Amino acid sequence: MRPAAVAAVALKEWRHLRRDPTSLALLFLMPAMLLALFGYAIRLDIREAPLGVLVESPDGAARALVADFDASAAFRVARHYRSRAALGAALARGEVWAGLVVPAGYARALVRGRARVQLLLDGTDANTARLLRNYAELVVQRHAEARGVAPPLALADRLWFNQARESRYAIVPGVITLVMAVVGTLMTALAITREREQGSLALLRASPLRRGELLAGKLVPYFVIGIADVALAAAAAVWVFDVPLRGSPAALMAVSALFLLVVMLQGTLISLQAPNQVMASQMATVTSFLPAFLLSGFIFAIENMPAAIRALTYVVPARYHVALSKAIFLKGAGPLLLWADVVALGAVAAAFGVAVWRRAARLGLLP
Amino acid sequence: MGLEARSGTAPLLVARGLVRRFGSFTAVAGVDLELAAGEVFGLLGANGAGKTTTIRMLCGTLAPTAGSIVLDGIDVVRRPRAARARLGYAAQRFSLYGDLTVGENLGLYAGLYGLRGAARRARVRWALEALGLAPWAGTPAARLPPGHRRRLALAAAVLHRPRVLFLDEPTSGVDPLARQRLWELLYRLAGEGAAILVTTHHMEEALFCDRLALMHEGRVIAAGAPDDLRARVPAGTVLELEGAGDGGVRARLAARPEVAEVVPRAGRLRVRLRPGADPAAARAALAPLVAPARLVPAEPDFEDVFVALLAARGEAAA
Amino acid sequence: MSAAVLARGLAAGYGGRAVVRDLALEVAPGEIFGLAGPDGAGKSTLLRVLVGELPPLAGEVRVLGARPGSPALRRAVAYMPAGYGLYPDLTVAENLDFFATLHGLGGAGRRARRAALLARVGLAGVEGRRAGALSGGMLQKLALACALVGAPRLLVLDEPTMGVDPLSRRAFWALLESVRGEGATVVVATASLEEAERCDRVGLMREGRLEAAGSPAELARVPGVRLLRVRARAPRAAAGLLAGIAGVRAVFPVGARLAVWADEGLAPEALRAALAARGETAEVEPARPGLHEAMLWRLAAEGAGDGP
Repeated sequence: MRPAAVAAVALKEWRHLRRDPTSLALLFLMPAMLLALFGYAIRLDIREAPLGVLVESPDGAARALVADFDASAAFRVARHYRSRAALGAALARGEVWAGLVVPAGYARALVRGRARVQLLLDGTDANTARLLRNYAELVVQRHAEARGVAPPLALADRLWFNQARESRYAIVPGVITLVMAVVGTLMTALAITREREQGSLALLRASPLRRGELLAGKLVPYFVIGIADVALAAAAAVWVFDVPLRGSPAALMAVSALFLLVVMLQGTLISLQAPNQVMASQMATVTSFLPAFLLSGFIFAIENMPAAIRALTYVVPARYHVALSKAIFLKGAGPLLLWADVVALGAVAAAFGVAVWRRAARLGLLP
Repeated sequence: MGLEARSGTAPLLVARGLVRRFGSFTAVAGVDLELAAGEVFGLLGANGAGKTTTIRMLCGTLAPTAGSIVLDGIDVVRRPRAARARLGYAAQRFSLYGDLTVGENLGLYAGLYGLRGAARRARVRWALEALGLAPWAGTPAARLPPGHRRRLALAAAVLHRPRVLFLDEPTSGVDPLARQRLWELLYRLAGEGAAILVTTHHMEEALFCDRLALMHEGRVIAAGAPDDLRARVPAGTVLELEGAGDGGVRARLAARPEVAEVVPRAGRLRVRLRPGADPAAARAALAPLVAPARLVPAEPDFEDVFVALLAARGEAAA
Repeated sequence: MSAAVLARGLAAGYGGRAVVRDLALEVAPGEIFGLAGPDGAGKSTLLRVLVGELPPLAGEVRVLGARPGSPALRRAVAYMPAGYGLYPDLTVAENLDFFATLHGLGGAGRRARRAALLARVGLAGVEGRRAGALSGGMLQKLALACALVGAPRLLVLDEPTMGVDPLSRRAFWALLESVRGEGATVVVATASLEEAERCDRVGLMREGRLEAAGSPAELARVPGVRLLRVRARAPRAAAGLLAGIAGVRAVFPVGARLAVWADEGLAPEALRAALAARGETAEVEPARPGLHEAMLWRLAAEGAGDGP
């Protein structure tokens, strides 16, 4: 490999980027947008949240509890339902933000001091769910105290969708993973496809350029941009969203660099495969964004997934980075403590690296 | 300067002061054209000279930045859709359906032009016969040889009996016979009363046109019948070597300052003098270099015409 | 000296489907060899094999004595594909420097090479302009400069002058001559038989095969027939009359004139008299066929192209 040739490709790639303001803007605006979307969309205060109610055996005790919920500042009783299914459906549609289930035999249990009511929550907005749960606990506690019931009335909750009960603290480190997965894959997915579409690949094939020089030259500038994106996102996490970075910034950058390599190799693989740029960007979105969003533990807890899907998450590289990023941010863990995730990322990087190297042989460049 | 249509016939197409800008780039910078029935008119020029932009404006598919176009009495700029029924257009790129057969493609286009039932069948049959496509009726368009693909595009453009026909680069990339047959087809269609406008970047094809306009950088730099345009090349600036010259004669001639280039053409060496060179003096100076062969004045081709016209504009000196 | 390009029984194509079939070709060192033929004849496919961009399906190919695409040939063979394949968003200098670096040039050597090449092709002074903003003729010159950056021994060009203006075309051919003058071999594809006459030798391609190869003069020779040019008052009516005259073999209307292929024995005066007898006064003069005319005659004579 000739360093001068690698540098020439990298410089050329950087010039393409610099002269295409839309793609350059995308590389920095997309992370900002994703951060804002997931960081700011989280509610801080709730008033008059619509509450769906299911009272399985209507009596005075149950009515009194429901009345206390309605009287609270946080809730208003929006509607009564006749079944759990109906209440669940209303929750899914967003008609109500929470569901209160007063089970049959509530009045008798209350007398014996073993009463429990259930709260159903929509977990897709983890922060709102957490706040609603805190308010509900308060209402139930006051209600129990007012009746002199001891031990206090208990609240059994069931969170729908986001069973991990993540909130901003846990979500923002995950957003960094998402940003890297999308940006890293998309940037590189177009890199070789563009050469093919422009016809310049024919010239490169006939030149003394080697396969390794082209690949290295293509990856270098995007790696630098990707690392800059990570640093900016981490800085925003700490200073804009007040998420504590308890671990070492160096550790975070190190594991992120490894993950960036993985997604860039994934993008390169797409670039070698896709016939045109439109196809390449679609393939990049489907293979990077969707798994990183759905199967990484970013929002949906992996341990609550069906076994088959849980098994599937092991091949999603984002899963390892989400785990690492959260652990470094929130628990202050060092990457050595999480060696299994680091090794897994390294293994995926090696596998992608080999696949890229083999597939790139078909480009027809000198080996 | 030869822009007017042939005398005696009312022009079918009159374009005045056509201008088209794309942002700060002026693709067409003031073009006037007139086309009469029965006439094959050529628009010659390099890629980027403004030929396709001009043709698209004339067809009403691209609005001009300025200028007027009247086609068979219809204002194309104001009523492009009404004009569409009276004109036929075959684009440079093959725009029919490759997976449909020749017959299906023509049936489809006849339908798009509002032909129905027996009238449609009759017109498709006519087109297949007239363009020599009948043996290919059942062949998918994608599998036609390039020359026949052009004919199919032409067939689709004439189904509705247009008064004016626009063809963008109809002969590019076809073999000599396909090119010849295509021009003969155009003569026949013109003979039936159509006005035909053809663009081409092959200078040699100028001779096929009744009249033509040479375009350069968005302007028409000259227009007229082919022989009139050839007469604008200064006499004696294109010479041919008559008789056998020895092996080194080409290099000796090419090295002379008054010679622009020496190229083989139809078995002889053709010597083009540099614009501005005095033909008589040059011939006298070159004669000893070629003896016993002789340099005789030759009929200029359209490359010579183009270069002479650019020289007259002061652009060929560089 | 051995051939610059040598091919025997060559087949090449895409996805296993041969576009070029059973092709034999020999190009001598230092010649300008033209590949002429219509679109789809296999010219580009053959060129892609020569530069090592496309591995052949069958047969034997040697370029400068080596297998196409071998490391040594990537320096010695330059390629100018149709459409040029340059980077439109990079400037003239940046495009040229990029390819120079791939050829191992750097620093002062690269700067000197850039200046020399741009001066040679006539692009000095526009170093900073984006390739995408160049005219067709200038872009073609830049593509040639990029191809010459590694001082190639074989230059392979795919329809380099397609659609450029006559002045640029002349300048381009003058450059090709000068490159050849330095000892390089040039293989150039063209769809124009008129342009092919500028080559030392021409290969005529049709349907994936090399039908004939030779000097333009050899290929333009048609034994047994002669070409006459007729200028009539009503050319389109005269075409019908001519077809009925004994000794006339083919009639091709060309604008106001007619190209008439006739038996060698038919004198121009005899044809004029025959036309006059049918009420048409015409000028008839002998003409020399070029490659295009000869090819047209051959295709018409064999009745090519009128059925699937």
